[in-house]
This record gives sequence, C-alpha cells and structure tokens, in this order.
Amino acid sequence: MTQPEILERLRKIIGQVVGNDQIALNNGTTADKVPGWDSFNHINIIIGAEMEFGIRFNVAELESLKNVGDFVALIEQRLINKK
Amino acid sequence: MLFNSITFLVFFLPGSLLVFYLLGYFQMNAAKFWLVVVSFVFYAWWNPRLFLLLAGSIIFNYTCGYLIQKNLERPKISSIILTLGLLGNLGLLFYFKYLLSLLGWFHEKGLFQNYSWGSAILPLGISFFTFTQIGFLIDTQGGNARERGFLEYVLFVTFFPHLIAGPILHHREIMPQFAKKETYTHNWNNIGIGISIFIFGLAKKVIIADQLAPVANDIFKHTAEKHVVEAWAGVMCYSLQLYFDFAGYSEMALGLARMFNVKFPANFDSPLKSKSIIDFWQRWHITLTRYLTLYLYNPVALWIMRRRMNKGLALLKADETTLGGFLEMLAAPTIYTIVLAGVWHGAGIQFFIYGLLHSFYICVNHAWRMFGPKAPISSISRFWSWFNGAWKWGLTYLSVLISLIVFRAKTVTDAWNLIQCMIGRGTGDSPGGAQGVVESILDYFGVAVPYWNYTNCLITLGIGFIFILVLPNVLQIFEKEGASLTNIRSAPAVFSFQWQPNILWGFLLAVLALVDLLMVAGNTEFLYFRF
Repeated sequence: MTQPEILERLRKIIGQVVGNDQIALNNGTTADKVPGWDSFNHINIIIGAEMEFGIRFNVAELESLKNVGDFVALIEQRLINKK
Repeated sequence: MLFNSITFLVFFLPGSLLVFYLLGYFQMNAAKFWLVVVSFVFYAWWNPRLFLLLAGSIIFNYTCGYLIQKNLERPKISSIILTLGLLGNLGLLFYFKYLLSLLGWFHEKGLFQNYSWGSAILPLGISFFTFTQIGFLIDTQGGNARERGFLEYVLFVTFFPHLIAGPILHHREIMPQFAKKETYTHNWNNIGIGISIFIFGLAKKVIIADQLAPVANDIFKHTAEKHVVEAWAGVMCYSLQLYFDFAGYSEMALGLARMFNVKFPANFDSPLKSKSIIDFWQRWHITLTRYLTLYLYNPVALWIMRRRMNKGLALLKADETTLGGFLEMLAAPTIYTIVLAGVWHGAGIQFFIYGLLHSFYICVNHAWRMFGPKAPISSISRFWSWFNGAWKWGLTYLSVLISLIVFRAKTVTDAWNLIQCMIGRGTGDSPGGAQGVVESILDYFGVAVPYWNYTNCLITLGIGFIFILVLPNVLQIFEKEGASLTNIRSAPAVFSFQWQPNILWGFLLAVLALVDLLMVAGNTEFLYFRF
C-alpha cells in the first residue's frame, strides 16, 4: 500500500472519529490543528487504524508521532513487517 | 534561588550566561559541566542538604536507565529493573509528599499516639524532577530513549530553568538540543527573545499575581464570614493569582532556556479563555496533562479498548454507545487519570476531591459532545455565535473556579463554607445578597464600606481579565520567533500584535523591566513550589 493510499484511509478514520467527513489532512497536519482531536479521540483513532489495517501498535511508538506523516510512515512500516 | 530575586537577576543569571558562552567557545563539554554546576548551586541555595537528594536521585535513575538499556534484549530482566526504578522513585515521592501527612492524620484521629513521627520538609521540585526521570525510564524500556552519557543526562534533569516547577520535559525534545554545537555559541537573537519573554513572565508574577495575593490569601483565612460579593471577588482573585503566578513562572523558564539557545514546550496557552473543560485541560499546565496522557491514560485506555475489541463489543461511537460502554471506555480511564493528577498535588483530601470534580466535568463534557444536540454550523447569526461562546466560557470558568476553591482551601469544610458564602449564606456579620452587591457598587464610587476595600481588588481583577480575554498570550506575541516547541491552540486574540526586534519594543520592554525590578522587592515564592 502506498503512503497516499494509507493517508486517504486514515483521513476517513480520523474524519469519522472527530465527526467531520470532509476533513482535509496532509503529512504535516498535527493533532492540535484538528478540532476534536483530543487525547480521548486519539485513542479512538489509534484503535480505528489498528482495525482498518489489521496491525497493532505499542504504546511507546505512539509517543514519538509528531504529525500525520509520522503516523502514516509508522503504519507503512507495520504493514511491511506484517508481510 | 528565586527567578524573581535580585540575587538571581543581577548576579546568578548574567554570570552563568557569560561563563557558559565563554566556555562554549572553547569546549562544549566544559560549558555543559558549568551549566550543571550552576544548576546545582541554584537548587542547593535553599538548603544545601537537598543537593544530596537531587544527586542521589539522578545517580539512581541513570543507573536504572543504563541497566535497562543493556538488557533490552532480555525483556524480563529489563522489566524487573524498570519496576525497581519506578518503585524507588514513587517511594521517594510517597515518603516526602504523603507518608508524614498520612501518619499525622492517623495521629489526629487518635491512632499511634505513642509514636512521634517527626517531620520532613518537602524538597523543592521533587515531583518535577522525579516525574521527568520516571518518563525517561519508561521510554528507555519502550526503546524510545537512548542514554547519551552521564553529563548530558545530569544536564537534562538539572537544567535550572525547569528544575523546580517545570515545564515537565521529555528527553526527546531536549537531549538533541543539548547535543547541537550551535547551542553553545551565543546567538543575540535568542538572547533578545529570551530576555523579552522573561520580562513578560516576571511582569505576570510581580505586577499581577503578587498584587492579587493579599486578597486571595485573606479570603481563604476566615471562610465562613464573607459576604457574597467579597467571596466571589476573593475567589476570582485567587483563580487569577494562580494562573498569573504559574504561567508567569513557566514563561520565565521559557525565556531563560531561550537565552541558553534551548527551546522548551509551552505550559499555558490562555487556559482561562477555554470554552470547555476538555479544552481547558489542553491549555492549563500543558506538560503535566501531556505527561499523564502519555504514561497513565493511554496505556489503560488502549488496554480497555482492545479488550472490548477482542470480545466483539462496540467501540465508542455517538449513536451506538451504551451507558456501560461509556463508563468503561471513557469514564473509567478519565477518572483514574484525573484523580491521580489531583492527588499529585499533595496528600490532602481536597486534592482528591479536586481530581474527582475535574474528572466529573470532563465526563459530562464528553457525554455532551457525544449525546447532546449538534450545533448547526452554518447560518448562525453573529449575536448567537457570540452568545454561544459566552455561556460556554462562563460555565467553564465557573466550573474551574469551584474546583479551585477546593484546591486552595485548607480543609474541605473551609471550601464548603466559602461556597455557601458565594450563594449568600455566609454566617458572619457582613451582609450578603443584594445588599452586598449594592454596597460594593457604592464602594466602587467612593462611598466607604468599612470592612472591605473593593476598589483595588476590582481594578486588578479587571486588568487581569483584560490580559486574559482581550490580549494575545506570550506564545502568540512571539509566534514568528517560535516561542516554544508546542503549537498554539488559542484562536487569535481580539487585539493581535507581534514582538519585533526594534527600538519601540526595546523601549517598552525596558520600561516593563524597570517596573518589574521595582516590584521584585517582595521576593515572594511561587505557588507551585509547594507541589
């Protein structure tokens, strides 16, 4: 799966969680710029991504994510390891 | 040593900066070592014996971190070392913050009468430097932190701008800055920005917070004898005192670090402008919220969600959530985290209640978001949009205010008395209710009311609220210069302006600095030194 494909699927998950289907995201987007992306919804987004991509993150990895781009890269890495 | 003391401002700061850059010119490690030395001096200034405690804690944690890293490939062993490390740190905190208060409480209740437990002073900054190091150990175990050498580690923990009251730093954001060569070469731009931010922070402390202190202290002394306006004004003064005191301290820390070419994360982002409690927690003592989210909330919330997922139960969605799901997925981890955040402040039952109150607020806020009416986004008139913002702000501020009464009062009874006074049920001889309001207005126009001087208090409160609601915060004023490592959540202020390195700003800041210095004489401690 390419990074743009991951980003698009992630966009849908985040949109669902924060209640805005039209949400625009790019690699540089950070949580504090997205209304509704608080610590509680952050967990929902993580779980949503785990279900969507069939992967699992560990808590320590999630700490180092600075923006959506980092998140996409982490998912990509997990998908490669899965194969 | 206090940031707002003449010793610090006139001798310590210029001296440590000058030698730091002189040494940095020749030898990076010498400059690091110098910074460690001055940081220890800064800490030991209060009580030289504390030096041993700080040094002991650092050596203990560094050793644990080193051993964890050596054994990362043997997860069982590294987990045991991590557990021991955590127990050591939490044990130290427990001893100094809770044990003696707890034993004292037993003593009061008539238990253990034959023993004398003695007393221990709460070592300054112990919660802060212990938390910083616990985070380091957990991250080392998670493979997220790498130890870079003893000197760097000591510098990270002791660096004096954050040592006593935060911001609570994450090694990931600080260690790389100390590793850079540029950090040790003087940069006039950073020094200028640092001094300017520091002057703003000092102004918050000495010009506003310290002026509100007498009124705030008075209101919590005889809590049952206040009339309604007096009670409201006093409690509001306290809310502003706490904010300006701690935000001022955090800005001074931000400015000081910047003078040494180091950027800190922000601790306050106009929290008293918040229009919801969730928003408030993302803007008040930001680095503590971030810390608790990372190490307490996330692991538990993830564990609960995954367990539900494996059982095939629904996850949280507005239209499908049951009460049980809400309680398990949201309320439980929230209450656990926020109550611990409350108790972190100390042993009193009032901190526990403070935590309970805030976790209740947050749960209500989430429930409202999930199940409450959805506000129409389009076609809302300007008036309604303003009104919508105003009631949300008012409710948020009121909720925070009530929690702060519990937070500040000596006992729960005191807090309850004061709340009673606020609804006109004070037991003292001063009148409450409508009469109190009228008298306060009369007083404002110069008709004396014997027992209370409202005028000063109202003026300072007014000025405080103008700063809070109308003017930009320091992060916004220095946005172009990147005041902190953190992004700003606040919407642009009603009046927006930016700091610029020009003569006008230089002049204005020089005047502000002069006023700061004239008012510094009081030398009052910061409220958060207690925690």
